[in-house]
Amino acid sequence: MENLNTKRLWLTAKWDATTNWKSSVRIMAGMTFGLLILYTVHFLNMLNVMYSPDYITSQYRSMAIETNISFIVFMVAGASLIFANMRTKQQRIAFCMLPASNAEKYIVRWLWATVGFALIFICASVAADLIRIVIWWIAGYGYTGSVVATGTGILYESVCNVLANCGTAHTGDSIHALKQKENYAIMTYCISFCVMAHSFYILGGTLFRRNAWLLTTLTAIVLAIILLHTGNFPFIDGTLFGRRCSIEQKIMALYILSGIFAMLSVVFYIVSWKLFRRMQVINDRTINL
Amino acid sequence: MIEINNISFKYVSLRGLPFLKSDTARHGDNIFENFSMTLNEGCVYGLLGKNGTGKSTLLYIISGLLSPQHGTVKMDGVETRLRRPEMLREMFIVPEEFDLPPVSLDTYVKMNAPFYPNFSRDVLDTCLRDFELPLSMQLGKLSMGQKKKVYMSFALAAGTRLLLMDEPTNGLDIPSKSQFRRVVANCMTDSRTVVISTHQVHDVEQLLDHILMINRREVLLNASVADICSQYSFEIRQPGAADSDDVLYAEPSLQGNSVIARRNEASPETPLNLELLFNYVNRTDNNQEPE
Repeated sequence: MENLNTKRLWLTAKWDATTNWKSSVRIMAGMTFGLLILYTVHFLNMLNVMYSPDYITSQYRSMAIETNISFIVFMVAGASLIFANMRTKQQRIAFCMLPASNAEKYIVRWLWATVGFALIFICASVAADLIRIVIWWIAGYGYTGSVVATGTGILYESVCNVLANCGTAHTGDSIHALKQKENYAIMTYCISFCVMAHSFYILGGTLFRRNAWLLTTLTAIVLAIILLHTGNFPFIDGTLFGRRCSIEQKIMALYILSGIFAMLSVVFYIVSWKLFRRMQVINDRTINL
Repeated sequence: MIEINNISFKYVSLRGLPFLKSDTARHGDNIFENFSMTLNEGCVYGLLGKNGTGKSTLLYIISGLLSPQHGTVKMDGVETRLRRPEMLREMFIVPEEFDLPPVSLDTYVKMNAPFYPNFSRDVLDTCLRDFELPLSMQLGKLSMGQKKKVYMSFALAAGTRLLLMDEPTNGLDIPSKSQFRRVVANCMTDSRTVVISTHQVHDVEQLLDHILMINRREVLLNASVADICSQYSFEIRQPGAADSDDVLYAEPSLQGNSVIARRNEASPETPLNLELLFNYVNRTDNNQEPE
């Protein structure tokens, strides 16, 4: 069992942040630019319907929802950059020879690929929003709203709705109770799928030394095509293996699939960990085997 | 202290797989096969060998950056490939090429020094002064040679028991090479082991006290400088005198013939000529260790 020392973990995190701060800034700059492009498209749409408050509000909601979706995509795909700090031979030597345990190094990089990326995205979205406000102000349209504020509001509404549903639990087999159970099952399914996708990209980031995001995405596409060709992937068309199902069957199937995704996540993490432990300085150029 | 036991190692690439094997370039030949060696404390080892004989590879295997396919490398009984923090804090490698982050030296020290319990700021400052570098600087603005001096100063200041250096004098100007020798000599202790892999034998021969010459699968020479100089003399002789019975090897030089001869006990010891010794050991018609 790898030893874990919290003080050394903290030192390793500081070391990693100080050594790789430039790449984090580059990623944030790229994300900010991407979001600005997205906002500019909406801005051009809004030019056509000048000062229609309802249309402006709907455009802001669209921008906020797209930003939130971008966050999910960014987090999942960004997981493939977990070992971007070991791209060159010199970087690998520096990181491998750092007097910290493999567990501490892995946890630090995992935190960067999760918490770190989330912070990068938040900073990028705030920066993009501020730049957008300034540009629109300079263009003469004044302050019409904030994407970040709207997006935060949408998230808050969603969380409140979920909590409200939790607070008023419907019991028995009534239609409301089943609907609530179905909502929980769908939520569990979506969360477990996102976690599984994230862990898949973590594995891809560990396995592929170069172009990790591209190769992992291509692998995911190939696997998805294979799955679609081998059979009817559950619920892809609203049915369960080609048959209409009852709500109870659907809930059961969703929970089973969630369990499968959870197990796959564990497997991906274990494989990623084992690959990291045996990483060497001079490897095959494409994969870390 | 460092035990290398029957290691076998080769670089495996996709081209080494049977269905992808190329008829021309063969990847996957053994760099080391049943290779064994021991490194003791308190010595400065010179690791010499022709191009491609595996000097850098051996350093990486010793430090755990590469794992041999067979055999073990242990430091104080612990396998280095496990890369345990207790072992890593007693080991430092100065590779031929390295990156320094674009931060100040103070920040770099604050980042890295806590990982090495024996780190000494005094030693770092002394080394920087010997290298004629300022005690405070921005690492991103240094030249390659200056970065090398800073990195080596930190390596020596880390106080690790094992220090591995791969071509440390590459990129250093002429005065810096003598500074390097002085700095390393000043930082040597009885419990420290330094292994210097280099082609620039003249830069380091005054520093070394043990010579290792390797050639792929075997150790051609593993002897202390004291033993070599007590048994052999390195002289310049005139062309006729080079054919004496005591001469083991001779090669022409500007002053006459540079020879390695068996030393007469009555005669004083001569300084080691490492380049001549290297040429002798690596002659194609003589792969045996000198007696």
